[in-house]
Amino acid sequence: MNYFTFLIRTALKDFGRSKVRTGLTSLGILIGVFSVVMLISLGLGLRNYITRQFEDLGTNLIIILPGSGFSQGFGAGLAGGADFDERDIKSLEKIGDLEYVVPVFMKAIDVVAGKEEEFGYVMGTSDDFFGLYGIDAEAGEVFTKGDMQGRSKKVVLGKSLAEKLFGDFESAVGRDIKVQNQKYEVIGVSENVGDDQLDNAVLMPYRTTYGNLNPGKTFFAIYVGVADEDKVAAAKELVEKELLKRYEEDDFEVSEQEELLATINQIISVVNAVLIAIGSISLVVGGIGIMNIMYANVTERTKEVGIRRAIGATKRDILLQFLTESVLLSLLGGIVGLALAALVVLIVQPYFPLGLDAVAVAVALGISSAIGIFFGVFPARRAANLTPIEAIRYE
Amino acid sequence: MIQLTKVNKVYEVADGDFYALRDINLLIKRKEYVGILGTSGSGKSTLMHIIGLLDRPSNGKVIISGQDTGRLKDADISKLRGDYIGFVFQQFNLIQKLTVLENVLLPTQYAKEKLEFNPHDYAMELLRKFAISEKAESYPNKLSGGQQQRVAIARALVMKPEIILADEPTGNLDTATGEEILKLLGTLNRDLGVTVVIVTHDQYVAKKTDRQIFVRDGMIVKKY
Repeated sequence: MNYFTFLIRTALKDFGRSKVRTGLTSLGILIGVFSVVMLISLGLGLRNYITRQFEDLGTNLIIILPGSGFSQGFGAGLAGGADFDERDIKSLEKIGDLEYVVPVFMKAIDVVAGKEEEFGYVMGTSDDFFGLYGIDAEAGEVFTKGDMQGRSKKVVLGKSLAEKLFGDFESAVGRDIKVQNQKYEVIGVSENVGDDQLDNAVLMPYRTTYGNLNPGKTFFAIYVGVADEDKVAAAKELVEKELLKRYEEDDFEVSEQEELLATINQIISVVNAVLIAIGSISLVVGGIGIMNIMYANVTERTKEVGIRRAIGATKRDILLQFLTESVLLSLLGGIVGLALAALVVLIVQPYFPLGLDAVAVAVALGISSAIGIFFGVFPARRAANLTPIEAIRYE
Repeated sequence: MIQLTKVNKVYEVADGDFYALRDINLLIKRKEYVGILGTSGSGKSTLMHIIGLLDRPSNGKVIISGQDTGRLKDADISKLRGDYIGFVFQQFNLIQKLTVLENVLLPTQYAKEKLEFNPHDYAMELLRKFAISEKAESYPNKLSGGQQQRVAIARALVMKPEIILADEPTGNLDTATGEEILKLLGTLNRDLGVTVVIVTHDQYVAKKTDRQIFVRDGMIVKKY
């Protein structure tokens, strides 16, 4: 028998004699690896999801947000700064090379249809919004330039909201809804795009929101589509120049879609790292559990160590034997934890795009092996350093 | 060959030094059959542990198979022990979670060089010779005391050692089984040419050997 096969077989034989203890010891690592892998896959899923959303918009998009945008975190960006209004839209529309200038007003609100009442988002925007996002009507139609100018009360519902209010989305077309006691006619239902706000939106011409919904006649953001992808940087400069005529530098931020994506990914990475660090605490606790059991194991098996030393085992042989046991214990927990995490990912994936990649697998197995070595080395050294005669006399 | 020159083993105790062994000079030649006889606390077991390289002397020289063990590192001592010396203990000292065959094969797993024989075949041959081959897959707790001691002797022989050190090998056995084990150890010496050293408090057991060494108060008091 090969030496390493011998070490592994010896360890497995020992586990077989105390299955409950082996299971409980591995449980700590199992929980730790499970939580770390889940957090990695959550971060990965979130990143993929956001990237996909941004990719759907194309790379020739410029986003104008009040304050310092996303670069100082979500809260900092959306809290203060410029209140964009129609004057800004008009001045931006004068710049050449811009395909779309789309204002967006958004408000979370209750939407009523007959006796049904659902939570949704009023989004006041222009007809170009549909072109910019590449969103089609799945039933009915979207509003037009004519509707914009006439401040018509025609709205387009997100498909999820339409289904919640009317049972099936097709029957929503032609029906009325009420928002803040104002009646609106549903002329179309937009296809689901996998964005919670858009899928539950009441999209209406931005001027229609003026009044009760948007008394300040302001916008939350302005999206600018550039016709030529190569001219995005130049267009961004022109947009900034135009806005500086009216606002201070700190009142707004103009971001290219890719910059914004990078910033968001950076924020996700930091949040994820913090979460993984918290999850790792359970791994350390699991490792301490392994060390505790391995110390008990060394004490229980002192005589066996003596016998093995008497028949030719070196200190290194004993060290390797106990290390193999702690690494296997830890790996066992790691593999089961990983398998459980993979199962949860499979179950949750239809609802949220959790991800599991080679990095997560390598991290799980690497961390559990490292824990086995780190927490196993002290008890193993204690076993190896027993003198043969003291060990063999131990009762 | 086993050679001890001016070997002392001293322990520090509350009222000074305690000499477990004092000025031991001893030569055991190859293929000898020797009994080390002494009462409890005489130092005979300490002597066996030092001969068997399980313990180191406080001072003095221990030469085993031509190697001065005082200059060897722990790993080399382990190798020497594994290659040249086989142990038989009063308590058998088999590992309970291993089968009979696995116990016998265990020393071969720690061999640092490739063995010139097939360990499995040789282990089975030994078990057959000692009439316990049908118990090869059994666990030690299913065996009688005599059978366990025969497994222990097979384990001691599996590396084809030059020396067998037996510490009270009949101490845990009834008279008839004890006789059987002594006969077996005698056969190993005569037929296989193995140096056999039996440590015992029992004069009857010691008399079975060709030469007796008496130990008292840590000193060799008589040699025959």
